[in-house]
Amino acid sequence: MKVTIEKILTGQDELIIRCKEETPLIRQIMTLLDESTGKIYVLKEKEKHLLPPSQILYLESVDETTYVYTRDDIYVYPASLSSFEGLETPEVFFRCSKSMIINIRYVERLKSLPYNKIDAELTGGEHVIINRHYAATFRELLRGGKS
Amino acid sequence: MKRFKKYLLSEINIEFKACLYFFAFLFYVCCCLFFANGETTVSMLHMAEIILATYCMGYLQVFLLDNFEEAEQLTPRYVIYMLLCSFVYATLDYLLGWTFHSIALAVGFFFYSLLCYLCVFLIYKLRRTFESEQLNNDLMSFKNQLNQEEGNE
Repeated sequence: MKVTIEKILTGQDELIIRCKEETPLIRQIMTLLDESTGKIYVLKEKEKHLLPPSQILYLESVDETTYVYTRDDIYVYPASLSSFEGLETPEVFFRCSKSMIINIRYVERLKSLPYNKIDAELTGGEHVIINRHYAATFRELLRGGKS
Repeated sequence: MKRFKKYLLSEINIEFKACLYFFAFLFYVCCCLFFANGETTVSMLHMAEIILATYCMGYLQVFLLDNFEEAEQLTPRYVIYMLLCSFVYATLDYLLGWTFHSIALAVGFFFYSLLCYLCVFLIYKLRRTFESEQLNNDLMSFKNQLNQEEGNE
């Protein structure tokens, strides 16, 4: 990939990406850039959107695709759940299973389940199960405050 | 390592239950011996048989019978499992002579073990209710802390 940096004396900084198609590397670059604006770069029907993390209820990975759920919409996050975990956001997200991350702000109610699992009821009535493996960390997080 | 950890967790769970039921059953056997014959000691062999029976039954419950005492609700299937396990214990009691090969005391054993299962089920359920309350309190505090931090910023 050819990288050109053009210095300007006046006007706003601008970054243009010229590509034949959006490769994973380009998507990662876009995600990285959007981090600085505090918004997450997501896709919906091939359209690009910038989503504030505060609107995200949870993220789920299905067949190597990461879906982002808000109250009204479902988007595709163009990277893995792990890369989302690495983002700096003011929201508190928690990895509750191998394939899911929840926004704790939208957890309405919790219920202790058999075998040390936890049922988290989200705003909108959706139920997410926090695995036994992650439940201990979740309890610590709640008791210890923001980690 | 992960498999070993999983196995170890199950093993601890089984051994905990084996000890729990062992002492509960030992109490029943002691009562029977005392009130029927005035005996104040239990045979070591019978105690070994009881602990072995509860240990094996623990494996059966955890790996084949869905660990029914820890279930969220007492469905008909779990009631059948309880009846089945109680019947096995009562049969063992009768055959191995824990309570003098008496049919009446074996029937009593059946109802006593059924009561033990029900109590354990209720204890687990109660524990989860308290845990849920605690979790929701922690969640509320956590959210309040988050809102406070945001307000300060």
